[in-house]
Amino acid sequence: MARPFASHCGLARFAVRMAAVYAAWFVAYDLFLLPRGTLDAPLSHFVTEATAAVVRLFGAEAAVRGREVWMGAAGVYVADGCNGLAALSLFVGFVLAYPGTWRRRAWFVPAGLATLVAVNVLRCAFLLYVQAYAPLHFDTLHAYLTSYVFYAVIFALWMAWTRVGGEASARGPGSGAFGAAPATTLTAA
Amino acid sequence: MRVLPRTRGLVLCLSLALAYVALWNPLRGALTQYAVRPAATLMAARWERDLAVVPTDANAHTLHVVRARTGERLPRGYTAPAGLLFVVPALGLALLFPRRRHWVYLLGAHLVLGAAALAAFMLGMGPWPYGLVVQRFVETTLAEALSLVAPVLALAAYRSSRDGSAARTPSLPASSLPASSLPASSLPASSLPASSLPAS
Repeated sequence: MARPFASHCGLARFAVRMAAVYAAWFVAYDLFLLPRGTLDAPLSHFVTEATAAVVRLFGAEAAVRGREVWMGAAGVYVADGCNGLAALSLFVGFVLAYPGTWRRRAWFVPAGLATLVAVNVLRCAFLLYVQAYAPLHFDTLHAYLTSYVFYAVIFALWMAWTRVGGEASARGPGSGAFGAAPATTLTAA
Repeated sequence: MRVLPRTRGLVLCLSLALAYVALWNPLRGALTQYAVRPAATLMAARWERDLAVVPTDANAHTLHVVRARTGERLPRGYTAPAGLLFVVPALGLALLFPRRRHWVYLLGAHLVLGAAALAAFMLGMGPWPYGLVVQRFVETTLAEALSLVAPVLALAAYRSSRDGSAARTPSLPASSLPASSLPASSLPASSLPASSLPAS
């Protein structure tokens, strides 16, 4: 495998490119996508439905009402900041900025996004169980533990990309944010 | 006396953790409460903005922005730099690369981002409202990306160095491999590649 960046100049180019990708995403998201709910609404609904499906898979009853998923008297609300969109953009920004071939990006990015969405669904299902059986620990787990699970998965995906990025890594670079706002915890219905 | 590389990494790790808990974290809190908070209040008053900052209940390193007249909490705030997002990857880097100064560069980069975020926050509390948006971008997106990318680049650089060394000496037995094929913690600084983080 080639050395990822042979000089500080290459590293600086990578850093600038990465920051530019994130800045472009931040502006597009904050100004256009978030206010209109173009991406957040469908993604949140998907996560809600998938969370209910996972809970049912484990034999429990789950009901969906809009962005809320309920298990008995405990429920969680999948807010805009909780649907994992920020984590998705964080992941994509690195893959676009770090050297690699476009052909490999074409499959790695969708695979990574699918992995992150799956992790988020499991996270939401876990939090729903916590809300049902150990509500006192919900805030702590939600604020810290589950965020770091996201970081760990993104880290693993980035490490994988440095391996599978391709021979373009040797020649130089080719081409979000995880600000998980707290999933609003619903009180017992 | 020769100190084992693993031991060196562990000692560095423990020292860093101790320094973070005993020195750096309280300092972050004190700076936030006794420097940033009054300065932000001053900026808001100077530019006649209907904004104020209040401490959070949870910790001293975070401030909330509220409407000065009504007390309504806005989705804006300030968090002191180089917190958990710094210390977790820094401990990992110190453990894996005890002879390198990756964690120092990571701290430096976090402080630079922290200074940029603070400047944007002050502008946001004063003459330029969009400063609060810029500050949020720097404080969340860029800081998170930095914390994740530093260990990734360090590990990728080490791996490429190790693979390169192994390719050059394919027929040698393991016992005669050069130092660069050994685990990261046992490497002398000179055997690692021109690091993906700035060299000392």
